[in-house]
Amino acid sequence: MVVDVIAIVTTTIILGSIYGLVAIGMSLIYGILRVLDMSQGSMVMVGSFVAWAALVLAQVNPLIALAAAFGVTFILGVLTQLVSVQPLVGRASIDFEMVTFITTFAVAMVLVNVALEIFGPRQRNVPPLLAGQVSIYQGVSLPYQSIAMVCVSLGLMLVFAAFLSKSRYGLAIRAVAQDANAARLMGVPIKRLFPLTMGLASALAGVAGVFLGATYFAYPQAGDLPLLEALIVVIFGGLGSLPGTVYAAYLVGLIQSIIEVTVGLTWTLPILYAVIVAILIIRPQGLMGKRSEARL
Amino acid sequence: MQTPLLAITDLWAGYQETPIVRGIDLTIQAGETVVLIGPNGHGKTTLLRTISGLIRAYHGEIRLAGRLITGRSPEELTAGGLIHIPQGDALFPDLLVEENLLMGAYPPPAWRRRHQSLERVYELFPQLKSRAEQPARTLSGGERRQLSIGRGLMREAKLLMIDEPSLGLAPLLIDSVYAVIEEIAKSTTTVLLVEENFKHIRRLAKRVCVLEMGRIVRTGTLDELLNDAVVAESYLGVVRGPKNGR
Repeated sequence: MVVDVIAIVTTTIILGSIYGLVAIGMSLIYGILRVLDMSQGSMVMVGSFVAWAALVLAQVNPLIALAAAFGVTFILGVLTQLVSVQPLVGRASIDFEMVTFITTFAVAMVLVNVALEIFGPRQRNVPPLLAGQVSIYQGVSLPYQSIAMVCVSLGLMLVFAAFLSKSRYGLAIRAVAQDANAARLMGVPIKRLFPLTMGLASALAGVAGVFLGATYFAYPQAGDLPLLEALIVVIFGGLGSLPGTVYAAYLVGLIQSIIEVTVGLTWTLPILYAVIVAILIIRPQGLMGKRSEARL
Repeated sequence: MQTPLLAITDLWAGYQETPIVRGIDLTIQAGETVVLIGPNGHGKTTLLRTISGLIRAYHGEIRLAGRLITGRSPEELTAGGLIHIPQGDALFPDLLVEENLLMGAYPPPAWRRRHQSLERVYELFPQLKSRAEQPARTLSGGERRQLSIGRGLMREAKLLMIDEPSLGLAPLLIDSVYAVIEEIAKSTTTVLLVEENFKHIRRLAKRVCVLEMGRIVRTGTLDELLNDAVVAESYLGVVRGPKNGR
């Protein structure tokens, strides 16, 4: 019994942190740009491959691998925004959300196929950043890798929250999310802010990829499942609400780990999705989403 | 002759296919204060929105200090010293009152002086200070207007445009808002106001323009316009009684 509780708690924290890291960027992009960014999953995949290249091919320090994944996906995120979203901003009589949903999805497809071309379909083994584990209770042990993952995820989310609430740029990002025209009247250069935001969001997904690559593998479709999970978390939390996204990430992690421990792995995903459908029917706007109002 | 701060020639603008501003010519010298009056829906707000770049002009040109600004984005223009305090306040509802004010100081030079500017605005509107840590959406209508004007005062302006500063404010506050505008108008800042109520602008306005059907139909000092029977009755709401002759 105690073992079960400990297992549930640790799994919740681990799953929730990584879900949060992938989903928070997606939520931010939706809050500011009204784009449901389908390229976020492929950023996870790119992050995994960068980690693999850095750790296996170049054999560098794990911190450098993290920084490299952050940097590469940041640049890719900026480029994705410039190519697939920026040209559509402010265009009359198009369904912006739908069109960018497709264009960012197209970018994801391109990235997946480029990865396939370069690395081939084989699954690459990404070594953990930290080896070894610590035993915390009879039979329950925690890999250092998981602890590092939780620390990095929480750390990045906290830094990100501080950036949004305290810095001049963060203030501007939140202002744009609420009223883009008013923000422009304040002198906020939204054309530069949009790519920056998408770069940051992608970089968070890229860092998540470093850890997910070690848990699973690095391969071209490695971003598919994280994308799906992030979508669920973001919609569950209330599109565009950052606190809602974080709560939802840990709640999804909690539900998932409870089912895993009590029912078993086979039934985890079907039951998880059934629970989420049930909650969304009761509360369609998500945990903390608001209707037709600015959200950040 | 010195280059005018704002020079508008044959400006046409509007929403989609409907022109609202229909051929406006307006020249404002640096340091001047000009007030736009006229019935609602005849282009005052649209004119301000076009000057600040929120609406693209169909035709005509706008020059700010000699530089052609037609088609420039609002973010470029505000960085260059143009401040537009719009109708409807355009606050950031989920940001705190103080964060809203700080957004007014977004350009780096203003950001460096943000603490002094905050103090000045709080001195002017003590109500805002007591609500500094509340989200802007919790404010009353009058407080919103104060916040919107206060936010506009968080940086220095070459051209300050205010769309109906008195709208929704209690009479006492209107006086203090106008006291501030007068102070600003006395400095080198050029002021362009939209105001419905001529009582407020009596001391302020050297020049009043009457906008009707998207054109400037009359220009003059307030007294000249008050002596013009048509203008006084239609736009300034003055009914001439047979006794006082005015």
